[in-house]
Amino acid sequence: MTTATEAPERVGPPSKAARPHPIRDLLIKRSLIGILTLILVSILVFAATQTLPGNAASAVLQNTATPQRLHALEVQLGLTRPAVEQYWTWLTGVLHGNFGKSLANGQPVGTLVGGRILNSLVLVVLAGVIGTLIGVGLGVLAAARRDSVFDHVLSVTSLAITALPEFVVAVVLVIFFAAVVIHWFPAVSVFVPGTAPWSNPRELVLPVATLVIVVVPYVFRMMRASMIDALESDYVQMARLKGVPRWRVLLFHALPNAIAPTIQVIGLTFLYLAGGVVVVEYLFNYPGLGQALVSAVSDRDIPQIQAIVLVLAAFYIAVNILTDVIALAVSPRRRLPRS
Amino acid sequence: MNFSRRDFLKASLAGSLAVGAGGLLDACGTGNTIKAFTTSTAGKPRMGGQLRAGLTGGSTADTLSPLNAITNVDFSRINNLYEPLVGLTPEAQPVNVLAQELISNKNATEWTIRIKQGITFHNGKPLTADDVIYTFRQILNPKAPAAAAAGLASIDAKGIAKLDAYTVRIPCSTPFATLGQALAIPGYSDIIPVGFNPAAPAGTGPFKVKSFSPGTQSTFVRYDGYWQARPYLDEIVITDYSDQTSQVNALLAGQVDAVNLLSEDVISEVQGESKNVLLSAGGGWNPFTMRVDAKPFNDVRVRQAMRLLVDRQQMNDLVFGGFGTLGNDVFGIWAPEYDHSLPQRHQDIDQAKSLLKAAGAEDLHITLVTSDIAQGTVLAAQVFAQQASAAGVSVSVDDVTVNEFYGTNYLKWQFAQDYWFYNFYLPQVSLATLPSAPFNETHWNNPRYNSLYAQAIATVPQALRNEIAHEMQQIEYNEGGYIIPFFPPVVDGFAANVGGLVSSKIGLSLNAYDFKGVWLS
Amino acid sequence: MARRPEAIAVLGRAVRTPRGAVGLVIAGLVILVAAIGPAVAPYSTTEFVTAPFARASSAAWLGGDVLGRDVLSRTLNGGWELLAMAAVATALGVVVGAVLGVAAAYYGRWWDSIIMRAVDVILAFPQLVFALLLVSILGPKIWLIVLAVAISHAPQVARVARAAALDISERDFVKAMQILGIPGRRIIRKDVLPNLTSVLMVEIGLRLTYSMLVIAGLSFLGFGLQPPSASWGLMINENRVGLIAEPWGVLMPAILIALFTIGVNTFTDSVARASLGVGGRATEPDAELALVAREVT
Repeated sequence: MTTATEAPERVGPPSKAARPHPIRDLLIKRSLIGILTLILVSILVFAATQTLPGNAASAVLQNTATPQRLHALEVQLGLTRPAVEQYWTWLTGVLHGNFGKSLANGQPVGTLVGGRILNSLVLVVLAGVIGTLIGVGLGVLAAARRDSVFDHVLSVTSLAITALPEFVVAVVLVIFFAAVVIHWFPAVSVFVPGTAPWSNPRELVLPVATLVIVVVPYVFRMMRASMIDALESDYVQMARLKGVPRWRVLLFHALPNAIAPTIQVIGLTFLYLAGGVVVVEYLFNYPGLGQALVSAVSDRDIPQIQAIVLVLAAFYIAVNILTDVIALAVSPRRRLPRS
Repeated sequence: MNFSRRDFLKASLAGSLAVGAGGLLDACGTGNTIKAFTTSTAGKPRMGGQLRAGLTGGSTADTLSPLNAITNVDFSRINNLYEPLVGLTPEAQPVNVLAQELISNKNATEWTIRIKQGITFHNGKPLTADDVIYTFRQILNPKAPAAAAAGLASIDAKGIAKLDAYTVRIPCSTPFATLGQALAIPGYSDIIPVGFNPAAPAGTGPFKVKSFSPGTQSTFVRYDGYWQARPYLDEIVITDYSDQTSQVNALLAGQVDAVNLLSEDVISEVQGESKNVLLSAGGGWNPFTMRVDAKPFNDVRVRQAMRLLVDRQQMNDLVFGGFGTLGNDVFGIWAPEYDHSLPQRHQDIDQAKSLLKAAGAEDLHITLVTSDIAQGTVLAAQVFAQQASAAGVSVSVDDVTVNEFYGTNYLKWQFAQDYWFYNFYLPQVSLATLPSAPFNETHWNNPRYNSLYAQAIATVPQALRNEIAHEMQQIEYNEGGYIIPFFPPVVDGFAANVGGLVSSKIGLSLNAYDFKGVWLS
Repeated sequence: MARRPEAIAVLGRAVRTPRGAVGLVIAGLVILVAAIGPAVAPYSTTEFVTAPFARASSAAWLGGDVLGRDVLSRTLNGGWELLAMAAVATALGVVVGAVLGVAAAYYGRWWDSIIMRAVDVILAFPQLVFALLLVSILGPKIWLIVLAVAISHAPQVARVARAAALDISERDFVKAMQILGIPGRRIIRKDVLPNLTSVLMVEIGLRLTYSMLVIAGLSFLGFGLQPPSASWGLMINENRVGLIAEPWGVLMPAILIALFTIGVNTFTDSVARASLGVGGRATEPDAELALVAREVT
């Protein structure tokens, strides 16, 4: 897990006028930085692809490549033009909404990648939402029964799960639920391209389950810790003294205060999932962005690589901004400048 | 210590087989009870049904054009959409398909090909000589040569003439007695109509395209105007898989009916769940390649020593479960010109050591460049390294990415591997072992061999050609730059209700993807 | 305030807690196996000992791998490379990240902006994807894998280091030293850095776990160490195809990787508690919250 939120602000002299729209300012500033970052990322990736051994032509032709065939294909794909020109053509195309044509099969990248985006997004959203709900729920329960057997078992289990590589979890799930022990769920997805991922929910179960298992421990630990913290606060003690029933205290007094730090972790969860789908898609043959990226890199398909990387980076930046905005909205203290 | 996988498989297969025998193959012919099928048996043929195939080997560079078919999955489509002038039987021998007859002149510098009549393309257009001429011009287009161009280089494309509506004359700038064999190789003579458009492809094959998503899935439906017997299946769905585990899982879970390119390790798993395994002794070959034009392999004694280092049976057992065919350092095993009388080479460490000593190369250190270019390549490299150490040769294995392997150093590696689809003997020579060959990875240039080839390629009678070819093979056997320890088997899996699959020596999975004779019971 | 001894003191406290002891022992065991393994393995990693995927027998206690080599011997030999790579990648990432973070905090405006923007760019990638891209482009070479993982750690470490360093740099005594003209580098070395040690120690532990998982993940996808190396990640990938027939080839390395990361996680957890002055069971909620926040993010 990596943090990508804004580090503590530098302390300067307190500003004279109170800032009227901290959220809006944050949004604007971070969006501009985000766009700049995207451009930098695309230049970096393009430069990296230029250093590749072999290019898209040799990747396509493999062992049938004679010098004439290679050259003919390179000309056809535009690979003989200077690098800067290739990048510029791509960039101007993107600004018009045209992501170019795949070097591997000539189809428009926008269509190719667009379909995959939806598929991966479904996995990420489902796993993120379910994982968050389970993690929050368990965290609250564990905090409420602190130091009980329930709590200890959960804590130890979550620590153990964070140590497991994702593919081990996936392989174990497949062995148990799909291929060997019982056959409840399909072991791989057999998507018809063009249909929506939710049209066959059984195929989503195992991939989503893998991601959920991997992600829950982090949310759980954070929720538990911040819940414990909230339960010890004066505000909650006061409510208890006043005779408010336990469950109400938990849900309406402690939880709202505990949720703020957890927002950051939830944001990180979604960020982590964006990368975590790669292994899951590979194992379950799920036609998403991760699978497309691995295959595009293998094919040296530069327009496709660029498009997918941009989408991932944009997703990352957007989630970061969203997380910070929500965190800011939820904790009023941070809207004022530090003194 | 010669453990073989036979013993292991025998133990784990006890009592877990379902469908009755329909052509059993004994691994290594010792009469044990491994039941790997060579034909499927699924009751009586029945019209209708959708065959779902889950295939590895594809990528987003998947294509529907026969001019650029390169991978296994490409051929799964091409072989059902298009048809060649000459095709291959399951025994890997040429058989006329669209061609009625092929006649050459005395010096093999001119061929006359007559095609069958009454055949139509998927777009309704009838097949005529114009389409044949168009196809050859496309293949041999100097600005954008097709994959087959290298093997048909002798043909003088500009001089191809239409003799009548169903006959063409093909002149060759150099003698080409084996034109009929060359055309039979998958992808070499698939006929496309004049004005062919890859985005809306039309062929004469038993199935036509319904949808195509490169790297993901393609669907085909039966072509009701097909000129031969009507295919049983209504529809074929081919899905690209990235890896064997997901393929096998899908087959076991009933999500697909047929899968290709399995490794022998999963045979017991597949059969344990009442699915069938199709085993073929393929004609494709995966050699170790030594460059003969530089140290240390420029000394023929070193090359001979390297060939003697290999324990071929052990390599076959470890990498292919014993199901491969032993190789003898000469390619073209199923070709009519192949000399089966050459004594089978075995491992001889002592002889290898003395050869190396005579060549002054006793403590040889070399790097073997390997890559995951075909099944078993990387495993075979590791086995080779281990076996070589017995003779004091230290081989360090360098596993590079496929892209790097086929990158700028391709055909220049000092010591590496490669893979070839099945080809006949002389056509293969023209691709690999002549100084003018486009893929001469061993940099081999033997004057006697070259002049024998020039003779053979102009010799029309098969028997005479065989004699010359045998002499060429003798030279390769003694001095060549290839180590060919095995011919890999082809292992596919299929559901119990799939009928009509036969094992084929062509080396492409699932009977070279010939689905027109396949049914679902 | 004592400097170097404090780090040792924190470690000492950590080891004496139950969590710390258990974590250290588990991780230590795995390190022992990896270090001594090559010396006690019954066979070499390349000899063919039994049939491929043969079940456990007296000849091969954990059965055979994909080529019939001894799973036990390969497991014993396969740890040190992976551990070394993870350790170097982590150390490199933490050092580079700490340097960048402290420099950004201390030297202020310009440096801060440049460094933090560069950090943002790298952070715009999921960690595995970043390493995957680099490795699949340039080939799975050991130094490249280590470098890729290190680069993907550095930004996070930089942020943490910057936050901690900012905290210090803004204190009055540091400003006083600046006014007195003491050179910046000296201040950093003698006053800022030592206060970062406990923060960095925790980071090292967390990053080490993650390094192991990323490198193992890369091997699983086929982009890690290549054959004929006996590394655990590669073993998992190679022997996957025979998982049903003979699971030890996959299970044994997976178990060892998992044990190592669990051990390190647990020990790091105890170090973090010790550095915050947090005790074993009865913990102050605020401190515990801060602790978990650091571990989880």
